[in-house]
Amino acid sequence: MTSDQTLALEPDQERALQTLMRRYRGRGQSALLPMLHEVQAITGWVDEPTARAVAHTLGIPEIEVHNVLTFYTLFYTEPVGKRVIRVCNDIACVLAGNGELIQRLAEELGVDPETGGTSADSRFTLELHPCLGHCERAPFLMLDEEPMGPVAPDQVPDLLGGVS
Amino acid sequence: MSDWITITIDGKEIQARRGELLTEAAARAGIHIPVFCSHPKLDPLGACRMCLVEMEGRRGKMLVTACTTPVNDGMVFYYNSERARDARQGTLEVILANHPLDCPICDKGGECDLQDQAMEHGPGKSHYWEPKRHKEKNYPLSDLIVLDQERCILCWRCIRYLDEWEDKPQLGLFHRGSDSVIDKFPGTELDAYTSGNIIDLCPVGALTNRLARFQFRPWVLEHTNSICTHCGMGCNLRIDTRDFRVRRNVARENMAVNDAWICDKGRFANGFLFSEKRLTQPLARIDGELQPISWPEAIQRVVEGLKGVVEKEGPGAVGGIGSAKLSNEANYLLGKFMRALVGTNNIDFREGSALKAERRGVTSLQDARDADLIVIMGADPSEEMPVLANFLKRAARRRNAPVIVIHPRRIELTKYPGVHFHPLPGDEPALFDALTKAALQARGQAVPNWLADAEVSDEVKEAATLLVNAQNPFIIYGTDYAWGYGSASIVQALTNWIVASGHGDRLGFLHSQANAVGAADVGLLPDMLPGHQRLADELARMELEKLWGSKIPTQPGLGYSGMIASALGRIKALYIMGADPVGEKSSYAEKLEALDFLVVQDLFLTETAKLADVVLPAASYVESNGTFTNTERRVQAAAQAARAVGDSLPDWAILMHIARRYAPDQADFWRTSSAPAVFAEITRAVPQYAGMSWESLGERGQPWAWDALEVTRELAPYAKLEPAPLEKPFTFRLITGNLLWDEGNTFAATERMANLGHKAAWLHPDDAAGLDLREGDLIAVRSREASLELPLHISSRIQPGTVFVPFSLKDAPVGELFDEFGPRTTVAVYRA
Repeated sequence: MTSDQTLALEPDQERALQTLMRRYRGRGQSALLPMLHEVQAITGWVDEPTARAVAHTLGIPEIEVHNVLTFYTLFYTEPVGKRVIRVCNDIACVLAGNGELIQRLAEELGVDPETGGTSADSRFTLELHPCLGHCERAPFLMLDEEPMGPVAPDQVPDLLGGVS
Repeated sequence: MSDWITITIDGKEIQARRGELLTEAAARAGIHIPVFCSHPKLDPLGACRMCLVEMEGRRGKMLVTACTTPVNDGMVFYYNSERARDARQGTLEVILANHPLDCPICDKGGECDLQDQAMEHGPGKSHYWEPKRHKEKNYPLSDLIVLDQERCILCWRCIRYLDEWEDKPQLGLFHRGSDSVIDKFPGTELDAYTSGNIIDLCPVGALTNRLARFQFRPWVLEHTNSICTHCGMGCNLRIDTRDFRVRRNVARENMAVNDAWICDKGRFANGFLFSEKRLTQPLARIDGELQPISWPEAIQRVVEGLKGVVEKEGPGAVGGIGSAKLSNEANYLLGKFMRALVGTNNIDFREGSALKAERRGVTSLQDARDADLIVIMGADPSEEMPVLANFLKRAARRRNAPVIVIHPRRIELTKYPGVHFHPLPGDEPALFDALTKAALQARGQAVPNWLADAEVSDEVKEAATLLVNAQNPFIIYGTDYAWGYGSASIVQALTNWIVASGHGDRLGFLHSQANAVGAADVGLLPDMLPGHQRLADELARMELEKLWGSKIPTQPGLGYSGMIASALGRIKALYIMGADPVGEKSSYAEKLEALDFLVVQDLFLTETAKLADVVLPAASYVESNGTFTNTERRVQAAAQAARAVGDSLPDWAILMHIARRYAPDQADFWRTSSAPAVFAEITRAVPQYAGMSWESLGERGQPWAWDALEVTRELAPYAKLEPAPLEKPFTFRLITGNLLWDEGNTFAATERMANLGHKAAWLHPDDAAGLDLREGDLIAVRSREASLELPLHISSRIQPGTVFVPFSLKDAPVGELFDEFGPRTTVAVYRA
């Protein structure tokens, strides 16, 4: 499902987005994935008006943009925290004790440890993921694109505090 | 290399066409491989895996999808092998794993591919005991179609139809895995004009008709072959009824006409049939009020009324107005009655003598599909004939046919490559002159003096060259250029271009009314006899006089607007059948009020009927038999599907009763007792219809040949068109035209479609800004004649300096604005 909310962008984000749109104008379907990655890097998540603008910029049907946005779980069609923490929730990490790590993260961020979620201040989103492919570093997590592990529960405050 | 090859299925050798799909080859041999996603009208996809068969390959047997496998010589397949059967059973089991099995309340139950195939190919029981997934069950895609995502088996037919045929990809497959759903882009409505076809295409009950659902089970319906009369395409319909009442319309395949498609107007807009407002009994003006009377009394009054006028003022004081929406039988009998019994040639219909139309319509609808170039002048197929528009879109996309559009608005078809011109009203002849000159130059022919000054731009040259070099162009013009002030000049100018390009014999006209061709064929014109024979043609007249048993007057009669205008003068009585002049222009009321006698025969108590002395309730075309001739001259039968409302009678029967009473001594010539019998008489009166019969029309209809009527077209100078003056405050040029969702009598009667109509006057964004107007503001559009108030719609499809007011808006008929410049007048636009 898609959010009814829309993005509230800072002026510099707005400018960056406009520059991006100009760069991609008329590039067609094959530029859709790279463009969406770049858009999301600026905006954090993709709302309906932005998806529409992407379609018009590339010259492809709106529906194609939505197909791709909803197919890939790493694209967000709902508001998401400034930083996304993805904790691996697969067998190796479970055996290595990721339960305590998740519990601690959820407590610090004030979200449900079963489902993850976004902190009230919108700074962080906690997500539980199937295998992230770093079993040798269990329990493992990724802070945005940055791999980290093994991570002990008591490292969590430093990890959150050290993030700008 | 022969196109026929041999393949083997289950050890049996069969003949197949090289490159055709295995499903098609197998079907010819009587092996019906089950499919869901595959459809003969859609590109192969291989999404559902229902058609898995084993194929012999270099590395042994492998499972392939038959619907995406082209066959070649010597290929070996196994359809009935254990592995293939097992694979199909498995597919079906997985499809059913999350299917809700709510067949008892599903509209599709009884005509559902999934039900049929579960019976034939299913495992009979499931391994699954887990709860089923829940998704949206009652999810409207629009006012017309509702989606049940749980029933959906993700075959993509709907997605593909909208993309491949209408080029409006408004549905997509979102999310993934077991979360996958068909959906539209958030916040949008499905507004494709032929969207209803996805209901026919859906192999399960996921897409259902929102107006018809829960009103029947498919197996209780009676099916009647009919056609649609909302436009001139004549799409073939199957009308499904129960208890003599229409339940739904579905598309009926006719490759020569509509393929397997109909538009949403044809499918859904049938509310007029059972509208509360239908006339159910004859009315007569008694003590100044319209009051119910019996049929014999009504017919007596009509006969006495008409006779009274004829005796006092002569037959020239009587006139008859028919309708391009009504059958050949109705229009033929009205013409015959007026000519043979009353003795006048005052007969016409709105799109009759006043329209500078090619009477033969278009060369053929198939030509639209085979075109290598499309030329559209003053017509908007997307709004006037959506199924034809889809054919044109497909030619543009799949055959790379360039599209040349010449139209005052930026119509939808301008999104395809080609050359597009948007001349303002009054500027059209200059553009066509330039095109003519460029065409002559491109063919190395002499340019006549009167074209010497035409200015040839690069774009003009490009368009002219495209047409000169085209092998099989589809060329049409439409009502926008053929009707009203200046149309004679525009039509000659555009004819010049086509003739100069060497394609004079391909110039067709898009008749937007269901039976505009037929009404002219059967002679409902003041100066033409049936069969497009001139009134002055003595031989033709004699033949008809023999058939009709009466003399035919030789003096040409008055046309549609001539009769109405003369209602204050020499016309004293009018018989109006299926037309509503007062609804088009309210000032006609005072003219019609001046008549001594007015008869109106209609489905509804129209504005015109309210003024009548006698109102005769007509049965709709669905409630009677009749033939209609579409814009490619194809005569098609529409059989009676439903019982007539109240005491209403078919138009032909009413006229027959009146004629017999009017001239008892002529009754021998008015003995036909059925519509097919009237048609049989028509085939004797109209040479082009010779040899046809109600039976021979069959399910496909019969066209009369393009060259059965000789039309000469020549390059010729024409009277200069003086456009209406642009002077304060009349600074905007008026543009009119048809929109599919209008508010006309037949459409507006389908109440649940009322929201689709877009009642507005349209302006270009710059003009709106200049007048400080916003979307939805109430504005006044005023001509020298009248003023209309309408909400504003801002659109860049409109040219600056023009205002577009569509036809058939309720309480705002654009005809009110027409002055001596007709639809090409100038108007003032300001905030109301």
